Amino acid sequence: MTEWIGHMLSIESYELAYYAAALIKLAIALGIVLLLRRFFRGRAKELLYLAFIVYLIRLLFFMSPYGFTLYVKAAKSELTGFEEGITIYERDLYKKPYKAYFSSTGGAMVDVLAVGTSQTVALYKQRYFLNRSGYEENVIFNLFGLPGFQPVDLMLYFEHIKRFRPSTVLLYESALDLNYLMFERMPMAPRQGLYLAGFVSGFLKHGYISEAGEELKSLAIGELLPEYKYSYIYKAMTRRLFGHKSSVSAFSDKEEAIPSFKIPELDIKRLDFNLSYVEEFLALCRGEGIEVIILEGTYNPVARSEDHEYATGLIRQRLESLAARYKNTRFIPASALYRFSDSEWKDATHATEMAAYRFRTQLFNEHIIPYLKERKANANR
Amino acid sequence: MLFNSLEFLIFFIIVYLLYRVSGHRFQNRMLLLASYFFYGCWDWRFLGLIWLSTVVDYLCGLKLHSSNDPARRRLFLAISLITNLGILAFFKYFNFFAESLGGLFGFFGFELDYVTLNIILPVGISFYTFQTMSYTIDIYRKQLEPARDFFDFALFVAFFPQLVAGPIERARQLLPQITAPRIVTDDQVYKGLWLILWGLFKKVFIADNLARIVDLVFASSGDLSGGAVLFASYAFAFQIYGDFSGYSDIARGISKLMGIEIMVNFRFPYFVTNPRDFWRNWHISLSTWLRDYLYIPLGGSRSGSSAFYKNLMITMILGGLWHGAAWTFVIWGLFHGIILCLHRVIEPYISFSPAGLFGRLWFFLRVIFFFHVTCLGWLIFRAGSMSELKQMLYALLSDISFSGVTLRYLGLQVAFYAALLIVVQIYKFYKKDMYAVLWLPRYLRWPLFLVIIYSILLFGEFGVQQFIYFQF
Repeated sequence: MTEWIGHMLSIESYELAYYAAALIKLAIALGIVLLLRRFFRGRAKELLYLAFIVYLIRLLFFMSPYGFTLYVKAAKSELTGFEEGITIYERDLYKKPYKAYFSSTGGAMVDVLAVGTSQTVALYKQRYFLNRSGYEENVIFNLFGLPGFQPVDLMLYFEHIKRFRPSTVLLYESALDLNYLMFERMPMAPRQGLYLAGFVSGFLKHGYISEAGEELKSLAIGELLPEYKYSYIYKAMTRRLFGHKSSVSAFSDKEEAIPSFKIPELDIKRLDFNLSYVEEFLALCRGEGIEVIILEGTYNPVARSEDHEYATGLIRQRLESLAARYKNTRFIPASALYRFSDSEWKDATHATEMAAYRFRTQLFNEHIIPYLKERKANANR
Repeated sequence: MLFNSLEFLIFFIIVYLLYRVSGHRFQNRMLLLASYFFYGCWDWRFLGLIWLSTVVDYLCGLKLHSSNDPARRRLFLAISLITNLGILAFFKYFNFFAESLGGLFGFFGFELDYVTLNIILPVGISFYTFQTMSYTIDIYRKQLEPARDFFDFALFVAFFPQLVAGPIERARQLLPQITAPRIVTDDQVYKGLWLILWGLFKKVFIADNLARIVDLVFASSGDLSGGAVLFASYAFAFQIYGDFSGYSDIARGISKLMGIEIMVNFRFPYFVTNPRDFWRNWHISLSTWLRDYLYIPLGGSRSGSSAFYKNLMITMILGGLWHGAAWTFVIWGLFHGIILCLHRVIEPYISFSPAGLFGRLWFFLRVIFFFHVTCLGWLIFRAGSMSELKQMLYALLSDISFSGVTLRYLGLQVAFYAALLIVVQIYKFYKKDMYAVLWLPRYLRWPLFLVIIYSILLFGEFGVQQFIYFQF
């Protein structure tokens, strides 16, 4: 609704558009209260008024730009236990896409949007390479990355990815992403509305409903009560107040356990489950006219598992066949990308800044820019 | 399916909508099915135990009522008691007794080759077996007419709001409400909603948050200062009160929404000055059950002082054992038995009540003193083993120091999570009205409601932490 109001009223500010929408919502809610109070008696009327106050507080303080500002400031990694992710989450999810949306209308806003995990963030967070790309027009590039971003998140965050209005999405999919499951961040995803039922059905179909049960329930409660969705921030603030160190998240565990960290052994059920969400994402992108380039991800050799060769071979094969089925999708195998040396990793999965710079330069020069040129030429034809 | 879970919310909305649109007969049948479904969500296999208990007690009730032959009546009562106590003894106490017996023989140098079984404890077994036993005992005593309709009786046994953690209802109170058509009043809806909200607050804000602290402290009992143990015992006192009375409040609130009144299980257990009043305010449905069906039949206080002390100790030890199959619960029961006896001895010397400010101060000091006695009992109750209990008691008695970390991490947290509870309880106690906050002026009532709502939403966990009393 915020976007629609902003568009209708030609408001080019996320905050203004939000409050304009909030005022309209409040007016509607007030109208409903005034209408219903005739039918309510005594204490029931009190409950009606209380519900209205809760809604008012929600609009003003919980789902508002002020709320998000608080979350960005408060939800530091040392507080919440999540490594750097939450600030990226709030800022990128709400500020950037909305700003991108309101700054112009029509057409793609972003040429290339890299989407993925902290591996993706490590590869693309320095953007200065773009000016040296040699492309006659600057590539408008943006990044949407969350630590521990899983294939299921491609669907949970699809609406936000779409708000960037990218013409091309870069997906960096390593064996870690496709052969790994971590549900604990799921409840923090944006509200899903009716899609939630479809999302849950994927878990049912692949037999993960009990493993992800608690997180799915929290996600569902967050749909009904957005205050609860952000409760982890308030809980973390309370923990800080009492001098309690934040719990160590799975992310931190990974970081601490670098020397012995291994990519899990190949699990076909897990792989199928993850790929089903990648496929759903590709289908939605096709519907939105978004091209997708899947890059085969790599990681530090120290993190290789016993069946590394077999697993990467199989995953490559599955990604290739997936890309072949979707016209809007290309697959670039690791052999065609920059080859990281053993010393170019700062941990098990994240490349060093210099290595990331080399990776980006090669990727853009050899693949992205020729691809963009080709597409532009096709469009002009 | 926990009360504080999404599944229960969906379940209850469906049940309640069906309930409100249907007639009395359908309401009862639907509630029975809903109750079995509710219980079956934990483990459908144990529904068989509820059915067994229901069928046996229903038939025994009818036979007891129709027979005038004392021997025959005793036989049917015995069948009922043996069935219920047998279920309880097998599923709850078999391993405890086997291990204890083995330990006892081992102590005297005999190696006993005993067997333990891998038995799962059925949720709420202690509650519904006690509830159905009271039914047959009351009929035996000719204090109750048996239920004529089997399904109504089955609903009395399995009524879902109080099935797994009480209150342990009496047939005299609940059965007539089941058999007769019900009218849901606005007052019941309002009070019911308040009880649900307040119960949720006590469970998800107070109990679940304090549980983290308590678990942490008890997990490291070997390295603690006495100050930390003291704060942990305060934390557990509020945790267990929030957990159990929260469950009871929600159960009562849900029942009220359906026009059914179930008994008050907790009043003001931490605003009492002696153990007798504590048990009149804490888990009232159990303490009155033990009084009516154990203590009084044993002879109560009718046969002189020594018999009184003996009966009291037996009742309290069995009451402790009711809570769980472990020696710490037995000792907890023993502890309460001893302080009840001690109180009986010293009561004549301390039962003066001065007037005015001094009287209030005297009352306050006694409340504070007895709260600490209760907390000592909670330490026994919560301790995972006898050695853990010894370590904590040693720390409490030998090193009562308070470091900054202890005060900040433990003391402040306990104060933060328990503050609103204490304020509301003081107000209710002062007004002598369990619903006193509902009659507060609007400018106080609404902010209070909002604070409670946001405490639940922002600091609550839903469907994660089990209710403590489920294990009993």
